[in-house]
Amino acid sequence: MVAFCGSLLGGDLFASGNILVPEVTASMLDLGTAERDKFEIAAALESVGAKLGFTSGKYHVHFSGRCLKKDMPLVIELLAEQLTAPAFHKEDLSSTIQRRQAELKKLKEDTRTRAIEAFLLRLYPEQHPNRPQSLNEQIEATASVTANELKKFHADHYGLGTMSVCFVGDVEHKEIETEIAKNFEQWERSPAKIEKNSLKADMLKKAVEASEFIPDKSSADLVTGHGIGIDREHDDYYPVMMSHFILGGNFSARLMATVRDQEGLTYGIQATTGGVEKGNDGYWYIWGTFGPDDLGKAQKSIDKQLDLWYKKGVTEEELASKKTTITGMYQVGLDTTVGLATRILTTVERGKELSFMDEYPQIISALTLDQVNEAIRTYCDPGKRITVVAGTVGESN
Amino acid sequence: MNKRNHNFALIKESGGIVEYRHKRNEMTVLLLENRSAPVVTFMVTYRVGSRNEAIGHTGSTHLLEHLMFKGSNRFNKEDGTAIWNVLQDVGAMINATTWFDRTNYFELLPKEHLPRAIEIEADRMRGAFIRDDDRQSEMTVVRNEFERGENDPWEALDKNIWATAYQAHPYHHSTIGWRSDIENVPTERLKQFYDTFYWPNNATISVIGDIEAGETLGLLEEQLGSIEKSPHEIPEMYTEEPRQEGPRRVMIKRAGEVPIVGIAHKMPAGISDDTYPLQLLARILGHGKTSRFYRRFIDTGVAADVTVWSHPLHDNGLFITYLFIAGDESCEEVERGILEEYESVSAKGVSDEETQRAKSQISAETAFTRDGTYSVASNLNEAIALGDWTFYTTFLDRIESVTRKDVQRMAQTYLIEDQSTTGFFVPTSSGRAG
Repeated sequence: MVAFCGSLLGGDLFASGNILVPEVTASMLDLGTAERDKFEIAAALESVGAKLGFTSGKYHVHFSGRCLKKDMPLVIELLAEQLTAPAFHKEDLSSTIQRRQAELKKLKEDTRTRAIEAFLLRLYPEQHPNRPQSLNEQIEATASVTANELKKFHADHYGLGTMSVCFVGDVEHKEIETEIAKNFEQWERSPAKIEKNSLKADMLKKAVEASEFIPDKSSADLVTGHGIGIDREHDDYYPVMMSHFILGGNFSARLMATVRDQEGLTYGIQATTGGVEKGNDGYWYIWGTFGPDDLGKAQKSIDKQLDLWYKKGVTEEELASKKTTITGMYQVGLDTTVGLATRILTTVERGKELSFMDEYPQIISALTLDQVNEAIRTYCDPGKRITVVAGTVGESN
Repeated sequence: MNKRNHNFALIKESGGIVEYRHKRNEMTVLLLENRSAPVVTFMVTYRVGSRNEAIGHTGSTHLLEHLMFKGSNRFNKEDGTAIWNVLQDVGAMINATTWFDRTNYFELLPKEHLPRAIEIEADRMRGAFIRDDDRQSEMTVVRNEFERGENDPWEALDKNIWATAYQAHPYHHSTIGWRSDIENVPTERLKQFYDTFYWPNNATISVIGDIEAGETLGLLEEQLGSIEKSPHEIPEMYTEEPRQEGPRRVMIKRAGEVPIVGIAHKMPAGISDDTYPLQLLARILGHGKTSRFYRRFIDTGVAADVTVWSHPLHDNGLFITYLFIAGDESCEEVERGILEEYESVSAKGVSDEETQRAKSQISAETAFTRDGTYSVASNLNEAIALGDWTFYTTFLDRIESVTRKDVQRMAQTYLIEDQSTTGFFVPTSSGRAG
């Protein structure tokens, strides 16, 4: 069997008018082409048990799938046809819009989605790549997407030059190269490129607290954190990332060990960094889920752990154990062909050589205690967090 | 096989997986050598789940599973050897899951750390602490897990459909249990549960990955071979669901955005011959763009999503269609549409093309389940729960022998009104709070 994944520029940030055009463009790639209708394509794939799907991300349109080795030429042919010549039929657009609006409405009910959305909306200014479009804005924008907008967006952005594709499994390199060349040779190059972002997160002078009211929810989600001001390529990024992994990267990290395991206040709590790709200044946050009666106690417990972590730093022992955790997880991630393919694609999308996959565990192993504790003091300030609670809390609008 | 392994009897081999039985404590062992990556999945499946619970202690299997991480004789916080720390420090993916028919504990880890995983599972098989103060702090964790589930309209509807479809059989209650049982079950009851079911003769050990069989059996003998079999027979769950004599309905009204329709019908036990044509029927109805439900509901914008759930269980489970309404149609209109599709299969059958396409999908997906040691273990886990691990390895051959007439017979036999339970999630605009 073969697992594959790939991407090309043309994600959500490339919208120039209606903000939902990139996403709807990607979601209609599998709804028919100039040559075949959607059911012919689906029948061709499903009759051999192959899978092929498309999604839109912040910068890239992603595709992924899997098939048996013998069906790879067929799947590459259909991949090329759907990427290069989608039909964007009007009747399919109206049902796509209806479905997408229902999916977005479902997300409005999701306490975690709402907490993270509210946190990022408060953190980043308009036009910043890390600022999401609100769910309400998306629902409104979806309604007015036209087939002509989709066709124009596709023509203007999709193309060769930014596309990467990775096949893993029972594959022969030459065969894939031949099939890719044969099916994509007529496609023009895309002028799409990533513009450097010069906007920065709003750094707070004091803490901000907010709530998102969602009726009839028996558990609330809390997100608390702030911007870190650096991207993944900054020398301090890995120390920052490690400091948060020690705070809340897995079950044996501080937050799960205390707020959950000792105090029983949550089913799940973690600390993480994000938004650091493509030169963007990222953020850190703690996320947790809490019953309404435990929320106050949980916030105090989080504050206590943050205070300890901030004032006293992490220990040599913690750093050593999390180094082996992260490098071991890297090895375990090779368990599946899909896992390996995804890792290779991510490496390429970040502009790294494939040798970076071997270098990564060494980078982690080389981190020092001083670097990590200095990163905490430099890039985190527990007193200047944005805190959002989403659920049946606060007041209904 | 090295000389330490004379305690294991070779039972059978199927699909490359070899079954052994420990001669003294009757523990079952399944081994599959797969060297595609230097990793191993180690899993212990106990043949106990929420079907072994009753009123007053629903959710106990799951709560006990949580307590199994709170410490055992040699692996505990007090000694600085807590399970999560010991295994996550080496990058292992570890967890446990509980469902109707089984409870499993697993570790996916770099192969050199397999002995440690075996040591931990051996220690907590009979040496778990299960202390009252741990139950108290973990009860609120599990209660929050329950609350999170209740946040999800689909999960709330699903629980209600199962609770309505089953009156006597313990599939009536969900694995997480009822809230008041989670809060109040005594620690003694959990200990009793542990002492009843956590024995080597009620366990299947699966080791999948970069291993050598003889060496692995040696490690298992070293850590698990000395554990005695249970001094009692493992009790059978004997409650049967009485025959349903008419359609049942349930409705949930709660704040929300998207209406959901669920229609469930009783299925046979998982190891029944009818399980295979039912899997094909589920695919023909609801899997992929060529499926009947996609064409009728998704392509037309009526539904945001439609899923046909037909997971085989140890006892007679449910065949359920869930549909999330995207358009202006009412729950009743959507219900009629789903039933019309059922009636069409029942009256006119399915085509050869549909049957063949569904077989191809299952064939490819079965091949994909071999991608990764954890995936194999996970699929084996569900087969063990049915009562026969070779369900996993023989599944494809059984699927291949199904005819389109068999598929039609499934609709005629099982998708009948008197065996149905229909549930609606009806969103209210303002909710009760605020």
